[in-house]
Order: sequence, then structure tokens, then C-alpha cells
Amino acid sequence: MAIRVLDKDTADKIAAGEVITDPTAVIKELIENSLDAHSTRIDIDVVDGGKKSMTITDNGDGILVDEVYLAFDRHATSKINKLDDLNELTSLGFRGEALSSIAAISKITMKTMSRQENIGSLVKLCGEQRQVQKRSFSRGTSIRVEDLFYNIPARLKHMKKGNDLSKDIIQLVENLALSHPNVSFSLNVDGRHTIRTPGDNNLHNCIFSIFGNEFGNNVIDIKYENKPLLITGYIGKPSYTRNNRKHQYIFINNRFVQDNKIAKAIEEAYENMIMINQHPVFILNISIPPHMLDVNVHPSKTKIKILNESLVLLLIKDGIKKKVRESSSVNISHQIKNNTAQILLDEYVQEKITPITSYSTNTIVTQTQTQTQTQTQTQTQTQNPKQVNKNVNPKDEQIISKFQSNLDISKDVSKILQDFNDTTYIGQIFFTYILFEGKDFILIVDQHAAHERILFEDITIKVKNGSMVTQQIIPVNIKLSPSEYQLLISNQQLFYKVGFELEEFGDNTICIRGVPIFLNKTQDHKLLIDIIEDIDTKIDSSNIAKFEEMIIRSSCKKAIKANEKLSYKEIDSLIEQLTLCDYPYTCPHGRPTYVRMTKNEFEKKFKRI
Amino acid sequence: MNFITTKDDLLHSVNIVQKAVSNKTTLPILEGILFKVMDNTIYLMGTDLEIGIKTELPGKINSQGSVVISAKLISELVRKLPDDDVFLELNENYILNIKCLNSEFNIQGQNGNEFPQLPEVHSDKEISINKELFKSMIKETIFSVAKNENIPILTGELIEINDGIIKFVALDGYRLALRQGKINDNIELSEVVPERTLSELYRIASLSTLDSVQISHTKNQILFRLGQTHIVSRLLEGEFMNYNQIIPQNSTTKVKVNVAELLSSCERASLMVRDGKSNLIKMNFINNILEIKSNSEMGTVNEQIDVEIEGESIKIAFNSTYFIDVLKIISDEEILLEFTTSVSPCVIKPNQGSNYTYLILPVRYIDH
Ligand SMILES: Nc1ncnc2c1ncn2[C@@H]1O[C@H](COP(=O)(O)OP(=O)(O)O)[C@@H](O)[C@H]1O
Ligand SMILES: [Mg+2]
Repeated sequence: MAIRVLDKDTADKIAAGEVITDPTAVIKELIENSLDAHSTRIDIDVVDGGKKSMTITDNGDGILVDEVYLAFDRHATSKINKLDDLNELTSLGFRGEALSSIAAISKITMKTMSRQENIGSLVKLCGEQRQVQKRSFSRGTSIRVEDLFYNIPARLKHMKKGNDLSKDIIQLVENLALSHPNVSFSLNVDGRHTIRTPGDNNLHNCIFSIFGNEFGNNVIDIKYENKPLLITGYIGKPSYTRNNRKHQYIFINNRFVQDNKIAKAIEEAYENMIMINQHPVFILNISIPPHMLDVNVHPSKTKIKILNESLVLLLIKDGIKKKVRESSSVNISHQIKNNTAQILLDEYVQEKITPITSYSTNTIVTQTQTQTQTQTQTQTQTQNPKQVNKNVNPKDEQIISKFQSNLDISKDVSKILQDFNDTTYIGQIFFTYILFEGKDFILIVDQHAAHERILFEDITIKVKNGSMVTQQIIPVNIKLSPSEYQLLISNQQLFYKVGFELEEFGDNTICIRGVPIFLNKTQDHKLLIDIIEDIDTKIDSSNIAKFEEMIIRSSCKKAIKANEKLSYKEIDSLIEQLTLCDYPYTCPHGRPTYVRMTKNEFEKKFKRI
Repeated sequence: MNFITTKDDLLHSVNIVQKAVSNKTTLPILEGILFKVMDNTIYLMGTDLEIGIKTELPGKINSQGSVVISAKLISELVRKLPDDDVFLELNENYILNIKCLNSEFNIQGQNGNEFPQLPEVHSDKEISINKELFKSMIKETIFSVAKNENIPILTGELIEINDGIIKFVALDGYRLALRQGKINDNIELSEVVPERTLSELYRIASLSTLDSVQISHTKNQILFRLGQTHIVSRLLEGEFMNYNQIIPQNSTTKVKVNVAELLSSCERASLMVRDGKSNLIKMNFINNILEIKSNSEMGTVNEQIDVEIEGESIKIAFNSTYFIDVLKIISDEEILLEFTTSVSPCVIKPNQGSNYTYLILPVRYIDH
């Protein structure tokens, strides 16, 4: 499409606004232009946080000599020409106002040459002054922006410090690089290399290059499709969490978005597998058909409105949950370093936990079912032409019904049963791990983690049904600190659900009249004290569900501690109960309950192969 | 030190004092038994500092002296000796020479003077109690002593003497066991004795041929005497729970039931209960019938027993273990169960008399 000026009506309809507020905005717009121009390499160079200069050089399409003038006009764009085009938008820019806005407030030097021409342009812009010369360059576009806001002293005065701006810019480029692993980004800040991505269209390599080895080794590859939704990218293992949300990246159709609802949905998918106040890391791209999105809600384009949002959120959560769970039904990686022969077994177990790469046969069956169902669904839809034709927005209707049919059968299929099928018990090591031998693999069960998981699910179900069994005890009075007392009294109902019967005794003294029975073991009042010690009394207990879960988790942890020894006789029943768990693969805190090692891996260790 | 005794006497004495020897001590000398000849008597003694046992060994004394010999070693060794006279002689460097027929051993011992002394329990008042009564009082209460240390005082039993009545009381938070008997001495006592002391006492009393046990105590020690065997134990400090307050006085339901029938029904009901599943038994007392139910993943059990109910009908649930524990040690044919509500304790009493009172706290559950 050639560049032309949008008609006034269209231009007005597109939400305008101040696009350029600081150097990051400039860089964002320029990089987006480069991406729109199909570049595979983008070099960014900033000096003093961009205040002095920023140069973005790409190897993209370039601009035709004849169109160079137009590029700097307001509402000049080659990307859309009427409002309806927005519905099928695939490019990042579309308002045609970035270059003109930047030109108005800085000094610009642009070198560009299109692949279609043998000559390019050198453009120099400074206020009303424009200079254009024909020159030959290597293909692509290089734009240098100097002295930003030189003509708006008010803005200039309120600019952040160069260092802070540099930080923002680094984050921005991280985002853009992660959403475009097919493009090689290179960022120089004050002559120092900060980011350099390979651009080999491998997101994992991109992640490695930006965040380093530890991070890269702790994320797992996911691909979840529930048409028309497609989620791809990497999610952190439940065991690899952060205490902030800085490493949560969400892209919609490769566009970075700040969407707390989506982030929340994803965090919820990790529910009861990670610790309270810890956050998972993820770098995910969500592909949604453009007609289901409204990107035109905020000029910086980082906010997006999704049509049918709640349904999409549900699907996202469901999809991620499935993947997180699958991923922790642990299998040990097939890639073993050759020089690791001396690594001790336990170290090995800790280090080498990586996701399963193959699906169990059961899962495949389900997936096929899903497909068939979807097909049937689609067929029914087509057989009912009335509905499709007459509906104002037939696409959405279809999508909803497809989604729903897929949801019904999204229940997990037990991989653990397959794992333990045909294995024989070998023994217990370090009083902690239980070994089982299979045909060409071994399973190592962490009995504590397993026990905690069983207990957790048992208690959760009982609390939900209100069927927790309480052993009445000869009342015990305990004096607490005022804050602990307050915590107990104001959440008496919750503790009651978990099986503790409490009574106020006054003077910060609580009277314990009943204790829970967990899996046939009568607890004692000491457990309650352990739980309150475990729970931060300053914690916000207004989120009942979260708080309840916290109490349950803490109960499991503390109850297991009290019954540390598991007899050999109990092991059999332990595994049986574990296989019955809804999610048997990790303890409620995210540690694996068992890992699997193949004979192959042993042989590699002993250098047999 | 030099004396002659028989294998049987030696084995018997070693077995008695060995009960006080601890195998997880930080003081190596406490892993041994003290052999001491003094004032024309041969003593054997073992202690873990909480409990000390001293006994006399009959024999012919040639010379005095003392030595500490590993308890493990000596008991193994004595057991293997032929049935005959045993000659023990202490040589230089605490080496004990043991001869019996053709066998001869030398055992390295330790200086007997380094062995701690048993605390002296001098009390002008000594209570005498029938040994069989004493044994059953222990047996019928000791199972209710608290297994964990959360409330330290509950790891022992209260021995209370008042008005010629002796009471043993044990409770662990979920249940209470009280057994009482008559004695002739008119003194008062209220002390808490560690569970371990009582269980060793029970075993020692079972070995003894005497028919009474003498008890005396000082501020923090208690002495039990069975003939020439002295068992001294530390007492637990602190206030025992006011057990009278816990036992409900006004019941609304009284049930007379045959112990053997109730026990076997409870046992059958809890058979269904497997590892990790609930060991709940639910009781429904109605129309002179007791219905016992338990369900687990393996199935449901329904037991019915004819009983005599006086008062209101009641539904109540228990941890089957607690119920079975009690029923197992009751020797009466019939007992009385008393209830007030489904969340208050059940009291078990003899049909006649007041020898014992058991109390079990129920389990609260939602019947779905
Ligand atoms: N790096 C670039 N490579 C090729 N063309 C570019 C580049 N930057 C800008 N252009 C051209 O200039 C036009 C105006 O850019 P801009 O003002 O950012 O508007 P928009 O990106 O919204 O179309 C674009 O539509 C595009 O045709
Ligand atoms: Mg643009």
C-alpha cells in the first residue's frame, strides 16, 4: 500500500493524543516502524537515556524516494486507509502520526533506501527546515533523533535522569525483542552492549540471551491451542518463582500488552503449586484473531480490549493450568551433559527436572476426542445456516460454542498411573526417597512431598464439603500475643472449617476444644500454634479463599512434620493415595512429588553410551 | 571385689536393674551396671538419672569393691553361662574376671566410684499396697498417658491417696482413665510419676514373687520397694489437670452393655478402616439397640447390639482406637456408658461399684 493522507473523518476517529512523551516513546515508535517494515535486524543506540541521541537502524523495506516527504506528514501511513482496516490490523503502527510528532520536537537525520530502488534518501529535519538528498545506502532505514524536546523547554525540564531513562529503554527493548524472536535486536546504551538477541526465531534462545542460563533453564516450552486461541511461549516451573511480577511478559499477537487480568489468570493457573507472595515467570504470546480485539483504546497501544474477555481469560487459565500440571509430572531430561559422571544422585535429581516431552497415550486420545468434537460442533453449525447468516456477529457466536465444547473435556488424564504401572518397589533411601523400578526407568518419590500433596487434597475437599472431622479434646487454654489472638478470633469460622474448635477466653487467651483428624491421624493443639506461627499475622486475611488455602497449606506442612516417620507398610498406601490425587505431581508448595530417570541416563552417567 | 553367686540369681538381678539403663545417654558410664560389694551385701544398680533401680544379689562374699560393667555385655554373657555357680573377681585396672564351670571371661569395666549414687528417699511414712492391685492399677490406666510432650505433666500418671483410697489417673487430651483401690495406710499423697517408671515397675512387679509394694516419697523423688529391689524415680513437676472437673456428672443417657459384645463389634467395624482412612465409628443408641456404623472406601459395616438404654436416644461418633483401648482392659462383664450430648464426653463406669472411670471424647462429624 502506498502512503497517502487519511481523510479527515478517519483521522479524527482514530484516537489521537500525545504519542511522544519521552525517549522510550520515540524508540518504541521507531522500532515498531522497523518491525512493520519487515526488518530482521534492528540496532538501537542511545546516548544519555536518549536525551542526547537515539539511533535506530534496520534492514527493512526502506522508504521510496518519492514517499520520503510524506512519511513525516501527520496521518501519513502506508498501513491502513480506512477505519475498517483496523479490524484486520496486523501491523504495529497505524496512526501515521509517529514520525510527524517526533519530527516536530527533535532534530532528525534519516537514511533510507528501498530494495526496489538503486538510490535512497538522506533526510535532515530541524523544525521547519527540511533537507533531502539522494544518496545510496545499504538497504533499510536508519533514523537518528537528537535533542528531543529542544523546542519544548517545559518537557525538557521534567525529563527523567539519563540513567532511569536507560533502564526504561532496556525494558522496552526486552519486551520488543521477546515478542519478536525472529528479529535480531542489539541495544547499545552509552556505547555499552546491553541486549543482543540472535533473531533465529527461537524464543528460548532469545530468553537465554536476555535473562541468562538460570532463567532459561527454569522455563518450559508451552503451546496450547484452543481454536481460535493459541498460546505459545515459556512459563516458569512452579519451583522457579520470583517475589515480584517483573518477569511476566504478555504479548497479544506479538504486541506487548499490560494486562493485569491476563497475568492474574495465568497466576491462578499456578494455584496451590507455588508459595504465597511468590509469582511465576512467563513469556507468552497469545494469538487471537484481530477481529476479537480492540487495540484502539490507548494511544501508547499497550492496552487492549478483548471481546468476550471473561471467556478468553477462563480459557487461558485452563490452558496454562493444564500445561503447568503436565510439565511437573516430572520426567528427567534426555539431554545430559557428558561430563557429569561425578554428580551425586540427589544433586542430580534436583537439577535435572525438566518437563516431559512426550504426551501419554491417554492425553493423545483426549486430544483426538477434542478435535472430533470440535469438528462435529462445526458441522452442526454449518447445518444450521439460518443462524450463521442472520446473526449480526456470527463469528463470535461460533467461537463461544467451540470454546464451550472444548472446556468440557479439559479434565486431566492421569499420567501418574502409567508411570507407576508395572513398577516394583525397591526400597527407601535417606529415609526420604522411595525408589521404584520400571522396565527401563526408575521413579524416585519424595515421601514428604507426596504426603503433603495427599493431605492437602484431602483437607481441601473436606473443608469445601464442610466434612472435616474434629476430635473433641479436653479443653486447653493458650495465651497468645494480641496479634495472634486477633488473627484467630477474627477467623474463627475458617479455623473451624479446617477442624479447630476455638473459644474466646478473654485476655488474649484462646480455649481449644477440638482438633482436626487428618487422614486418620488425630492432631493436637500444638498444630494450631504451629500454624499461627507460620502465618504472618500481618497478612491480609480479607481474601477469604486465599487465606483459607494458606491455612490448609500450613496445616499440611506442620502436620507432616509432626508425623515424620513413614513406615514401610505405609508406603504402599501412600502411592495408592497419591495416584488418586487430582494433581499428584507436586506438593502444594510446588516441589515435585516424584521424578523419573531412565536407564539410558544411568548408562550415560557411567559412560556406557 | 570377689564373690560367688549362681547364674540364675545373677541373671534375675541383671534383668531387673537393666530396665533403668538407658541406651541413649550422653554419659557413657550410664550404659553400665554397677556391681558393688559393701556391708556384707552385693548390690547391682542401673540408672539413667530419671529412674534408678537397685537390687540385692544373694551370694557368698570374699572381698569388697565396686566396678561398672557394660549392661549389654553382661546380660548377653550371663544368659549364655551354664546353670551353675558363678565366680566374679575384680582384678587390677577394673578388669572383671567371671568363671563358671569351664568358661572364663575377662571384661573391661570402669571405676565404680564414678557411678552416680541413687538419691536417698528417706521418709517416715511408707505406704504398702497389694502387688496385684498395684499392677492392675497401672495396666488399666497407662494406655491413656499422653504420647507427646506438648503438655509435659500429662506424660505421667497422677497417684493420689486420700482417705484410704488410692487413685491412678492418666489423661492425654482425648481420653481419661481413672482407677482406684483401697489401702490401709491413712496418709495423703498427690504426685505425678513418669510413664516410663510405671511401665518398668509393672514389669519388675511381674518378675517378683512378693505380694506387696511399698511406696515412699520426698519432695521430688518417689521410691517403690519390692523386697530388696528399690526403684527410685524423679517426679514430674507441675499441676496435674483437675480431672474431676472434666468428668461430667449429670448424664442424660445411660446405657448398660456387654463388654465382650461391644468390643468385638467395635473391632469388626474398625477392620474396615484401613491406613490413612478415617477410623471413625458412629454409634446410634435407640430403642435398646446400639447400632455401630463405620464406612470407608472398602465398604460399610453395620453392627447391632442389644443394650439397655435409660434416657434419651443419642447419636455419637468416636475414634475407634480410643474405644477399643478401653474395652480391652476392662475385666467386668457389663459396663455402663453415660452420655450427655454428641459432642461431650462419654463416661464408662462399672455396672456396680466405682473401681474405674473412663472418659472418651467424641468426634464431631457431619453426617451426609
Ligand atoms: N523504518 C521504516 N522502514 C520503512 N518505512 C518506514 C519506516 N518508518 C516509517 N516508515 C514509513 O513511514 C510511514 C509513517 O510512519 P509513522 O508516522 O510511524 O506512521 P505509522 O507507523 O502509524 O504508519 C509508515 O507508514 C511507513 O510507510
Ligand atoms: Mg509508526
